[in-house]
Amino acid sequence: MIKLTIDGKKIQTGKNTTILMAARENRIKIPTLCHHDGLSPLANCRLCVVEVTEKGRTKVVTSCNYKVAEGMSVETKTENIIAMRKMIVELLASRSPNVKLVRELADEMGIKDTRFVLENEKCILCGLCVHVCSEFIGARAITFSGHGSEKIVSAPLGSSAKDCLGCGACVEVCPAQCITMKDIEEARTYSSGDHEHLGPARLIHNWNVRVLWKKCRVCGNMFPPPSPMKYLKEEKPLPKQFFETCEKCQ
Amino acid sequence: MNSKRVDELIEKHRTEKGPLISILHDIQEEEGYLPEATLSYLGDKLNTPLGEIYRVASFFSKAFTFEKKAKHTIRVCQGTTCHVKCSDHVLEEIQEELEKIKDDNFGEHENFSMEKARCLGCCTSAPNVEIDGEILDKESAKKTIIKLKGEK
Amino acid sequence: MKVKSIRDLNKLKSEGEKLLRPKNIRVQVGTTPYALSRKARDVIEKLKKELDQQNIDATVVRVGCVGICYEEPVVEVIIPGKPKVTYGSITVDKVPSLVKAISKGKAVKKYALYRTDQEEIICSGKTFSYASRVPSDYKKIPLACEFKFFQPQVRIALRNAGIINPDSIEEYVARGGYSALSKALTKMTPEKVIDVVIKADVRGRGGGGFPAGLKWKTCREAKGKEKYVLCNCSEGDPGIGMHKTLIESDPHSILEGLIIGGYAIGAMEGYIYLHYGYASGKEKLLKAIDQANEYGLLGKNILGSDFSFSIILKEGAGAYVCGESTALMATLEGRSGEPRPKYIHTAEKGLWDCPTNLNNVETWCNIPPIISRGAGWYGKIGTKSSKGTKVISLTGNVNRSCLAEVPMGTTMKEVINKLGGGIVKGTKLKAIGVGGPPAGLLPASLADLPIDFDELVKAGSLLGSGGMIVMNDKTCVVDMARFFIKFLEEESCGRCFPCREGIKRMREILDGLSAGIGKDEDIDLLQEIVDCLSEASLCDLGKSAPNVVRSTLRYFREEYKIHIQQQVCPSKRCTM
Repeated sequence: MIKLTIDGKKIQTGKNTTILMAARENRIKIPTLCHHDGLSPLANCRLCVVEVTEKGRTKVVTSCNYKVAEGMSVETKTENIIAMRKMIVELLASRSPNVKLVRELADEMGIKDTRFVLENEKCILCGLCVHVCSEFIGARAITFSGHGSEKIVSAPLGSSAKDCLGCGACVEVCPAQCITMKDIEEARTYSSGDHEHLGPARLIHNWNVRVLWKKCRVCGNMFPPPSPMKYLKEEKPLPKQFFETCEKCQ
Repeated sequence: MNSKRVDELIEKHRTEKGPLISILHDIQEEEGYLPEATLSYLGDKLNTPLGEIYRVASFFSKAFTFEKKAKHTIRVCQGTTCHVKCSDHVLEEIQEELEKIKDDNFGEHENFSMEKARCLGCCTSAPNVEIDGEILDKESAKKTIIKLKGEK
Repeated sequence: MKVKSIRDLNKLKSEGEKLLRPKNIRVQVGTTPYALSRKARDVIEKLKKELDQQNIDATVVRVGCVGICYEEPVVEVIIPGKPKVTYGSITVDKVPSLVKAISKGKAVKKYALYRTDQEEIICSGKTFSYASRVPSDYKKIPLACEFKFFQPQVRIALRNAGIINPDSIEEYVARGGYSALSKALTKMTPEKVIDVVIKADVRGRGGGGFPAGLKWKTCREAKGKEKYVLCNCSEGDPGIGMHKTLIESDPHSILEGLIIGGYAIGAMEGYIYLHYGYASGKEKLLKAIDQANEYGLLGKNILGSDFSFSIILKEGAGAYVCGESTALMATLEGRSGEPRPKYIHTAEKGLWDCPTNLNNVETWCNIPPIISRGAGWYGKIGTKSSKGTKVISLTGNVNRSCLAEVPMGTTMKEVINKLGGGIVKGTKLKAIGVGGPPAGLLPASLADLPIDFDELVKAGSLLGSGGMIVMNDKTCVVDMARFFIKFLEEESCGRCFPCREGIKRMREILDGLSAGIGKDEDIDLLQEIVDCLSEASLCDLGKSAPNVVRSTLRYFREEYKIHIQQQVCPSKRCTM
């Protein structure tokens, strides 16, 4: 066990625990946007910054990916930390003023108006959708495109994400709820005027994909792409042939 | 690019660890851009999802393009030294020069692509313009544009 | 031929000496990009033609760059038994009279910049003599040490620049090259090599000034079978040409440094990360690597020892953020150049998760002389906390743009006045930018500050890679801040929120200021963004990005206020 203090409170936690986990175990709230318990930390949103004092040196680190150490002292709510978080949320609230979670965060922090030109981006670019698709699902169907302030999340080349399995993990993990998914009964092709009926399918609009239902490898019934969220939440790896097997036969 | 050539390029970098960027450089150099079909084929061959290839290629937007580049490349240096010596004005003048060509109804404008360069490494002679690899001052650059415009 | 012993190396050395001081006449012309843009190629052609027509037994050699950019094309003439003479601003029409003088064994005083009777070979401390007796017509030409450009300089990294043919390994060896490698492999344990580097207190020349020896030690002691040493040769900062000079003038010094580093750390492979689209540098480095392989200075059992090492050259893809070590490594791995959090050091988990040591070109170039001459020799140069020298690329509103190497502790004023020939006539010094976009600007009043890692940090700047850009009173600092911030906005990787969103917003505010629509509150808002970014950003690019705003707010706040309150730009640079 490792002993440390967070906000003056003496706590004990296991080795390999991050500061964020240790804080949450002890009901100390640290805001996050790009963190998901089932995935490795991204450290993109920087909202979870804290001040750490180790061996006489104090520094600002992100708590989501900084491991606890014996004798460490952590402050999560210093004036400096609060000011940084407020600035990040203000920047975010200017980029995405209509994202519910961002609005809630802004309210919580007492930010009424932002001092920047308002934009209306639905995506906050936390990176969770790309991350879950790559790290947990292994499809790497969607990706970041470009860099800097031009960066977006998209299907490769902006066209259709051909490696998408339609599992909807990206939809589930998105804190901004900006990925839209729909199941339709009848997908069709429109080549040369006649359309061929393809049967039921799942659409994910953001990635321009239409994933047709598959035949279950066990029972042979058509089924929609199964949701992997149960496994993600329990932090278990997906079983083999998960996407070839319907929910009943799993 | 045909699949045989892609195979050859993969073979060329066979012993290299993490060869993706090197292969993309070769494709960009030979084709002048990165065609989607080539990238798809490359992804299959390297066992790398297209998403990953696209992420790399689009991140390095100065090195890789997804559309064919024009015949002549004009790069106006916007490095710090050039900026101190008013390279932003040079950029405007070169843009005007290209606009004039457009007005001439030659339809040659598409033959030129203009980029802002980070630093042409020739700060002593700032501000610099580079046309097809040759470093020039503003006036010679304008002359060169007119000369190149005349060429079919 | 494989070099397997010190005897073999000495053989190579005497071959090189014959090339540097041949029986016939040697004419050498600088051919860096700037020299070429000033028609150095035509000068070479004309020289060859004239020498041929006059039936003069001479060899024309292409060399790198001495650094006297304002005098390019630079031509040097070595006539057996006579001092070497350096001529400046040689144009095609000056060639015939120059060749005529050469044919008579004479020097042309009016074109001559300086003469060299003998040179110190940095790696050995010995002297290399061209002439024991100086003819009377040569005496009128000043000695190199009397030439103003060289007076403040100590050339360690640039020891061979402009003197040797970069394509010739023999000439490199003749100047003491690979003797440090031979010393390290035959007489020193890896730990001893690291010990020397620690004692010499070499600090990384790439930016932060982290002690190189400590980094090497951590990497050597880190667990892992495979380890890597890397050289960052990517000139990211706009407005500096020093890496190019080092690469194109003396590629073997980079390789030798890297091989020694590999031996010390216990790496089998070294990578050189080169700026993309830099054909001339790539060619020089590839040639040097081939030669080193051919002579057995790379590959299996180097110099007959147990140590095997190879160097691989990889091109980047043109992203400034790849100066950040983790982004550079991601690029080498063939991934997109996004930095990752560095709570675990790259010395422990770097390239392909193996212990990795990264230093920049200039640092590596400094290693061979330090190993040859020892930490004591190196420690005498520079200041207490910043040892050695710094290569400075001086550009901007100075009379003479140049590239030089000065001992740490030299003041910026000395560099500007002695090397740069002062500020352009009729204007005054206003600001100095030292280490590229993240280093910010220093006011003229601080021109007396020494070039020293810690002193510059104290003043709110960074030594960075040493690109010094001098700005006169026609420069607007708000415009400069806007320029740097725009650059950083385009170069941010876009991964973490503060850097991506914050830099963009700073740019918007600065756009407003320079358009004359700034508000009083803007200054405080800028300061708030600066404070957030400098601690909350993920990588050093994001953390240092606000420096330019911070430093200009600190030193030039009045100018910001004038832009806001009077809606005018005092330097008339912003168009309002």
